[in-house]
Amino acid sequence: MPVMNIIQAVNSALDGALAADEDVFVFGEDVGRFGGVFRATDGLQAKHGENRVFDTPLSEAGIIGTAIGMAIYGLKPVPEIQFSDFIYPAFDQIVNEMAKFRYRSGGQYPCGVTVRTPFGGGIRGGHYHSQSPEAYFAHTAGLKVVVPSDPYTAKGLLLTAIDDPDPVIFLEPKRIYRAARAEVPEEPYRLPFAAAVDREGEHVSIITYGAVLHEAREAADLLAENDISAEIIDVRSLVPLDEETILASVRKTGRVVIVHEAARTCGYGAELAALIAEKALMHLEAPILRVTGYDTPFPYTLEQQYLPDALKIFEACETTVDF
Amino acid sequence: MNPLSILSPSGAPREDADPAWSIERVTSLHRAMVRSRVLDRVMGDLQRRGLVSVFAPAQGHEAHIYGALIALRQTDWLFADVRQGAAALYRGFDLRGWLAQLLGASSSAHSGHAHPTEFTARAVNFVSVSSPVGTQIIHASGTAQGMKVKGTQDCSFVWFGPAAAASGDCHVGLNFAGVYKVPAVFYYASSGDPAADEARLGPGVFADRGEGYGIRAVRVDGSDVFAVYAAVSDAIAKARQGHGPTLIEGITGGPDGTADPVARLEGYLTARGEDAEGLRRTIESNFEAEIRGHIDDLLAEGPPETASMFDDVFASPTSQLSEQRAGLETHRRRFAGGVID
Repeated sequence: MPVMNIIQAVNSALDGALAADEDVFVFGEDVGRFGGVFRATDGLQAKHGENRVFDTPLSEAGIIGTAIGMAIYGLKPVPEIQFSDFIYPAFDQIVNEMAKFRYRSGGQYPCGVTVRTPFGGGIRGGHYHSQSPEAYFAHTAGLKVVVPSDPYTAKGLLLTAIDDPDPVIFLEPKRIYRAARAEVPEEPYRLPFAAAVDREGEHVSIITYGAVLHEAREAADLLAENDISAEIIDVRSLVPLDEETILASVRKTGRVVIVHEAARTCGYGAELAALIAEKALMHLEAPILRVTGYDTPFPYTLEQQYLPDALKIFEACETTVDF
Repeated sequence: MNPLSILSPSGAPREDADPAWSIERVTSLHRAMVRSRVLDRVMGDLQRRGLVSVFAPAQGHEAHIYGALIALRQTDWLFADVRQGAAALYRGFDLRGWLAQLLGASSSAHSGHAHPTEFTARAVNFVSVSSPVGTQIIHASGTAQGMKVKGTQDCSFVWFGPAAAASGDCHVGLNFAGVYKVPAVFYYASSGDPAADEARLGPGVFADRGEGYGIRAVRVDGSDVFAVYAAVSDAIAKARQGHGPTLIEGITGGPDGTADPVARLEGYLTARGEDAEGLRRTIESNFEAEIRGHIDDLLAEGPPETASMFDDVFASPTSQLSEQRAGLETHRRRFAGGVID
């Protein structure tokens, strides 16, 4: 089985989807001839043609509006927004159009768009190349929000997203685009929009998604050296949310640390904390803790201090275990 | 750019441009325009009675709507603003289903999910209308791009007004359409109040914007249903032949009635020996009775089932939606009689 990084896994998924279904279209800024600023669409235009894989003007509302027009026509567009920080000019198209077409038409116009966009910090990108906007989209009825954490989940979840008849915001953890490497099947496969136990443990559940999953693994190694056994849950799908995998882990360990890069206030961790409080309160041995970005714009020079890292996660786990 | 015009204010056609249609074709067009006006009147009445929260009348815009519709094929997709909902009826969408959507009745295709002006009629390729104006201009370009890539002969057609014309989405939609040379027709209908339009769009001629996008543009007298038909027919023919999009500026007549599209067509009918007023009165009384009959039935339906609020968020509900639906239903059962035990 070949070893791929996330970029290669995304490319492989798109290549397979384009080959399997002539209704799949891939487009965005510099996506066609250049192959994408991160090279995720490298070679796809040459292979599948300029009608199927194409460059667009620099207009996110235009990219998403075009995708909506194609999707309601029955096609399967997979637009790319070059950085999720630039998705906001398309916010109205996403929230008021893409997310509501099915509902407002009583199911007559499904809108199966898969919006791929790199998110998160740690690449020295400052506040316009580092944001984590998942909570805006998770808060919008009618959107699915999916976040892979490695090459294997990137390919499997992306192919599920493209098949999905509803719109999916597919957030790719760009910090680990090339750093995360894993065995990935050449042939297409699909992973469900569900959470997974990334590592089993006894004493505390670290619930996370995206690039910081790798910080959680490092924290779990440090905790193990201190006789604390941490379980890691990779949420993968924020909407729909696989509550049972999360709650099963909470019932097992009784202690919870939620980790995400996005700012704390009204971040997705708040939703997870509320869920656990509503459905597993009597299993908790300690308050739920969050390790998140801060309520500041994403900083340039001090980004490593802004981001959740293994030591912050270690400290939070230690605090909850000692409670 | 002079507006294309065929019918004089009194309804006399330019000699070189009289379409010379069969009288049946002209009376059928007249019927659609008069029915539109009846809908406006009855909906205004329902609005005053509080039965419909909002309705955008088509009065004065009938030539924009029906002149275009008769030039289009049923397989061409319609992207409407809030004023053109009755276009779905012209294409054969059933009146009762249309009124059910307007009233948010339980039998409506969307179970009362959408606001009165946000019609959907997929069966006749009428895309669901959105209240944020201008968004549909980009969708029309995207659908047309899909039509082009799939090698169909279909086109998309979009109506929009001065509010949408001022939106960023109007610029974006025209820009994308120009870049990809999509088979689409962008029909801008002015408001009929030039001062108000200038306050939104500045003093320039709207159609002149087409040149900047590399999009052919024409102006048309929007009170002249034959002129609108001619302009749209030409634009659609070019789109089908692969010559890309057209921007049409339809100039709406003023509120003083001197440029009433229905009166103008009636002038033409009269000149062809028809009793236009008699035709109109018959359509008015028959159609109003038909509408009111449906409305009485629909008002008797009662509101949609509680559970239907949760339908069509996704193709299949998430566990969260199912739980919320069950929670609301349980709550409503328990408190059906108020806070008593």
